[in-house]
Amino acid sequence: MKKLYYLINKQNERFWERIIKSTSSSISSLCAFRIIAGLFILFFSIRTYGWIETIPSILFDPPLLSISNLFSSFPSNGLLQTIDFILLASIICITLGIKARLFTIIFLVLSSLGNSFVYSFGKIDHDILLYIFLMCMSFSGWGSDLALYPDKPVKEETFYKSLSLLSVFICFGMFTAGYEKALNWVDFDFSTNGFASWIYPGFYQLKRTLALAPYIFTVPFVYLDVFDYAAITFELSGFLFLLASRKAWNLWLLIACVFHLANALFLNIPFTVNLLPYLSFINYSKLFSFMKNNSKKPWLKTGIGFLLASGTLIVIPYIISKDRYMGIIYFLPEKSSLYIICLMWVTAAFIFFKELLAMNRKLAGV
Amino acid sequence: MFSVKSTFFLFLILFFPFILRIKTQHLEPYPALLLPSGATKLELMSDTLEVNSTELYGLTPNGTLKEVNPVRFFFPIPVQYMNPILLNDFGRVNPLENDKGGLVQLLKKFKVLRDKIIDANDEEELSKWLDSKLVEQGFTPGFLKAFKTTSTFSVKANRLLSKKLSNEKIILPNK
Repeated sequence: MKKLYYLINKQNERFWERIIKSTSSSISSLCAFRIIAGLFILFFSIRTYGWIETIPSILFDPPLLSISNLFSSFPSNGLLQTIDFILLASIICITLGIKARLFTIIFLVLSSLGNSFVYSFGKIDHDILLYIFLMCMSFSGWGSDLALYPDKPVKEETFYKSLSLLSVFICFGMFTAGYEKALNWVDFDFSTNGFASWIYPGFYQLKRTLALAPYIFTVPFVYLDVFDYAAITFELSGFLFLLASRKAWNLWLLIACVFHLANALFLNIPFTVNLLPYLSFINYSKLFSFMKNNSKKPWLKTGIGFLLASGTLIVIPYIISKDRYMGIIYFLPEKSSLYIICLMWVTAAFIFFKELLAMNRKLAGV
Repeated sequence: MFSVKSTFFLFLILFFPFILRIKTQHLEPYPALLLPSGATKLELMSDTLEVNSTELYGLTPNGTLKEVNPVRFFFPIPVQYMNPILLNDFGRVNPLENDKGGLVQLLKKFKVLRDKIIDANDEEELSKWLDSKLVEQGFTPGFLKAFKTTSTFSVKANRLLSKKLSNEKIILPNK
C-alpha cells in the first residue's frame, strides 16, 4: 500500500513538474499583461446586467445548480445596476493596479452572479474561460508591480500554481467540448457531418455570410468530415501537448488561435473570450521592462488614462439607462467587427509563432 | 506543488459538472468549467439536407402573417436565448417537466425540484411585454405564433430548395 502511494505521489509530482516546465513565465511578465487584459476586458468583454431587471419575472428559469436559484425571480431593486457600477470600477482598478488581487476577485464573483441571472433564460453560455483566467490571475501576483497600490508579492510557487492551473483548466475545458463531439461525430459515415450542422443554419438562417463563409460550399460534402476530425483531434489533444514540452504547448496554443480564426472566417463565430487565457502564456518581460523604464513618463500615463476614460465613458450611459452592453465591438457594423476579431486572432497566432521561433533559436544556440 | 489529494480533489470538481451535463443538460451547473460541444450533425439524403429551426410570426395591420425579427423582438435578451425561451413556452412550462431522466425523477421525488408557481400577475406582465414588442415592429398586439420550420437545401446547387412551416404553437392570445 505504501509502495502504491509512493508511486502515485511520484507520478503526481512528475505531472505538475512537466506542466510547470511548459507554462512557467515571470511575475513581472504577468504584471505587464494585467494592463493589456484590463483594457481588453473594458473594451471587448465587460457586460452590463441592469437590463435584466426590465424583463418579466415569468422568464426566470434558473439552472438548478446556480447562485441565481437562491433567488425567487430577477432582482428588481437596483442590485444588478449596482453590480454594473462595481464591475466597471473593478476593471479600472485592475488595469491601474489598485489592489488588483482584491478587485479581480470582486470582478469574478460579481460577474458570476450577473451571468447566473443571464443564464436563467434557460440556456448556459460557455464563456467560462475568461472567468477561470481571472480566478487564476487573482493569486498569480499580477498586481504586485506596475501598479498604483501594489499587492504584496506572492511566493514563486504560488505564481507557478496559477499558470499551471490555468493550463490544466484550458485543456480540460477543451476536452469537455471535444468529448461530446467525438461521441456524435466519429461515425465513419460520410453522409453525416457535424461541421455542416454549423455551416447551413449559420449561412442561410442566421445570415452568417461574411468573410470566407461562401467558399466553404466549394468543398464537397464528403470531405467536410476532415473538419470534424480535425476539430475533435485538436480539442482532445490539449493535455498531450501540455505534458510534452513548452514548445509543444506553445504550438497547441498557436493551433488554438488558428482554430478560432478559422471559426471566425468560415462560420463567422468569434470566440474572443478565449483570447486572454491563451495570451497569458506569452512572456511579456520586454514589455514589462519598457513600461517600467517609462512608467514616470507622462505619455504612458496619459495614454492608459485616456483609454480607461474613453472605455468608462462609453459604458456608463448603458449602466445608467439599464441598457445592454457587450463590448464596443457590437456597435460596429457586423463586417467590421468580424474583421477586427479576425485581426486579433491573426495577431495572437503571430505572437505564438514568434515565440516558437525564439524557442527554436534558443535550442539551436543562435 | 499540488499534493495527490489536491490533484484528486481538483479533477473531482472538474468532472462532476461534466458528468451531470452528459447525463442531462437540464442539470448543467453554473459556474462550471464546461465549453460548448455543439455536437449536432446533419444527414445528407442523396443531394439534400434538412435543417430545422423555429420562427415567430405576428399579424400585420392588414391581417397577413409576417415573420417577426427575433433580434429586435427579444432585445435586450440576446437572441441566442430564443429557442430555450420558446421551449419553456415563455416561462409557462418548467423546463424539467418533460425530462424523464432517472436523475431528474429522483430529484423530483425528494422535492429538490419544485413546480414553478405562476400567478395572474406574471401572465399579465408577460402579455404586456410581448404586446409592446409586437407593436415596436408594427404588428397587431395580442397575436403571436411560433412555427417549426424545415428548410431543405441542395448541396450540389448550393441553394435553398424549400421551406416548410409546421407545428403551429399559439403564444398570444394566451389560452
